[in-house]
Amino acid sequence: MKTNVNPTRMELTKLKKRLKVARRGHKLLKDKQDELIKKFVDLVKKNKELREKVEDELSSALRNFVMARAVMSKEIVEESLMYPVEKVDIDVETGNIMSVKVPKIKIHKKKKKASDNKYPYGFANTSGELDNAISILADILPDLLELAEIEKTCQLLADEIEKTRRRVNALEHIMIPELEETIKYISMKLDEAERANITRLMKVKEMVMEKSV
Amino acid sequence: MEEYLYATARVKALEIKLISQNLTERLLDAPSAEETAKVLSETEYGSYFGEIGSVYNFEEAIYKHLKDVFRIIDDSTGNPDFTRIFRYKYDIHNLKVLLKASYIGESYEDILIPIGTVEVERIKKTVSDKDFSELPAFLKDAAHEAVAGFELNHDPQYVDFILDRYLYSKMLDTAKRLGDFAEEFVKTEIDLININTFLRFRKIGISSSRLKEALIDGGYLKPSFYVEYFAEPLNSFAESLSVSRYDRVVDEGIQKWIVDQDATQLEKALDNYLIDLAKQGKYEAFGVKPILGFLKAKDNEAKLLRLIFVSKINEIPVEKIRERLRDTYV
Amino acid sequence: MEITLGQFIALLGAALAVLLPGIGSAKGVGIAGESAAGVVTEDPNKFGQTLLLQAMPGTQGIYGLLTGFVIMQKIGLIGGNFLPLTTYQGLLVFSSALPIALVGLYSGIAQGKTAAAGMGIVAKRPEELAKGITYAAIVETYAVLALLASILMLFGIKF
Repeated sequence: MKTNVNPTRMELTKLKKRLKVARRGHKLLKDKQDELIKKFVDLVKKNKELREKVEDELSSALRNFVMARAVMSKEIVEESLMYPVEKVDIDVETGNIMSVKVPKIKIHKKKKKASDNKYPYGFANTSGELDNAISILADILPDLLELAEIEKTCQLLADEIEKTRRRVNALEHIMIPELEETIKYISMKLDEAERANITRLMKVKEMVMEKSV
Repeated sequence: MEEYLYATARVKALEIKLISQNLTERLLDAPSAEETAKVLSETEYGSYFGEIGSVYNFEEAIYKHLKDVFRIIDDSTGNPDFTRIFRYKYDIHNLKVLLKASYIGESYEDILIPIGTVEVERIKKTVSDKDFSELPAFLKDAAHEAVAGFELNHDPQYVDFILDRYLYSKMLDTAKRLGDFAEEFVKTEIDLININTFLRFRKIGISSSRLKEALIDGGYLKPSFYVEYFAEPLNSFAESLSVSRYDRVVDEGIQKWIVDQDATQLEKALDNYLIDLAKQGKYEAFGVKPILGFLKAKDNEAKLLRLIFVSKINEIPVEKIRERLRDTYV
Repeated sequence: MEITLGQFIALLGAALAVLLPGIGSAKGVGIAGESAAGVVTEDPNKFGQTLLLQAMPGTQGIYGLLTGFVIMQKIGLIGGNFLPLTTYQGLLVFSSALPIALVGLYSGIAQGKTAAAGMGIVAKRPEELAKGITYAAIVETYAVLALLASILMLFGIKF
């Protein structure tokens, strides 16, 4: 880069300005990266907790399901669950963390009819073990959706952190050193030109002096 | 009273082929579902398991076997009422599936059970035509009321409630034709279901108005009994049951349920009570008891096999299976 | 030859002695047989054992027939010399036929049921056949006692 610039004073001023901008940008990006990492670490912690909780409950729901299945026939289990009592609508909106667009999930439970019932089946040929499974599943749905939201947010933040880090590195290790080098080169060139000029002037002065003597 | 000499003798001969305690242990010890099926191959189920190919289709083998058992009993008693008591529930199941499927607009044919008293195709046709007049009277009335009930509140649970009520009232009517023991049997079954329903409602906290819908009339204990105790502490419910004929259910199941609300022990106690009642058939030489007892034994055996197979397929530890093992008839 | 009322009553006794135990046995054998068929449907190898049990209620008919013969002998029907019995003589013969007639009828049916119940034993534990037979045989006792009573009475009557 340093070779194909015009070592002029104008160029030097331009480059110096660019260097200043680069340094400021570097600082800003660095700050952004730090903040992102802080947010990310928080979310990852929360994500881990939530994931463990959801996984625990899901596996206990599944255990209950298997046991319910063991005491009821396949056909009766499926018949019991084929028609849902509750419908859940999900709205996904966009939130903003450090100008990263992240999803915000909102749940709208739509009951078929106002009632306190989440069990879609009768009680005569079904087992209480199925109640347990259904009850756990109904309870963890909000957690499950929150987990989805957080996991996606973490993913997006991680991408953004990676991108920022690359930019910071590019500024820090390539752009700024190169600018500095170019500036140094131009200064040197200019200094050299200055010196040459002085030498030339001194020479001219000498010649003039000789003639006049 | 008819004595069903031929049928009872045949049933006695069939009783020795029921799955014994001993065989149950061997089924439990088998390391995998495939091995379990192999152990079964020396029993009556052998040929049925030969037909199904994969052990994952074990339900199919069970239903095929039950169907043959029903045919034997029908042929040898010449009275279809015996098996009807055990088959109506499949009609009602099929009706539930088809009605709900028609509301969802999807096909659920693979969960129909083809061992009811009415062929699946016939119920399917009536549901798709929305004309139930072709069905036997009780199914027709049940279907009409279920459809009306669903249109009113769009709650699939009411469909089940309504159909279950029709099921048990029909079972009770049929049992009454077979005499006192059959009537006692069905009445007891109704009571046991109601007790379980009552306790499940208590646990999951559903209103008492819905409880009234879920209870089945016709047992020894009237639905009003449960409604009355719904707001009372469980102990007083247990106390009043312990002076009824269900004292054993209280001792073996409800006492523990009050502590941990665990369905496992309770449902085992409820099932065992009915099996115990059916066991009278083992000690009777002729008549209705041995035949009903045998049918209940087969019903119970289907449950046993299902429990073992599901557990083996899902690699559930043996002690978990044992917790749920019902008594055997033999 | 003049037929007396006594002759008629005595003959009626003989007829009942054959008839009622015969009915009892037929019914008993029928009950046991029906039951036997149920067992054999499931396990044809048990035919022999069930047949033995089924045959047990058949004895009452034989006892009845025996009593009938003894009466016929007594009143001279066999041998062609029909005694001109008085009404009271006829009633004596008739009375002596009653034990086996009635006991034969009821014990035949009862034994049939016991034998049928014994079929349940054969179905489940064929090695315990002897016990099933013993139960049925105990019913037999009373038929034998009745036969004994009838025969003793008949031998006791002197014309």
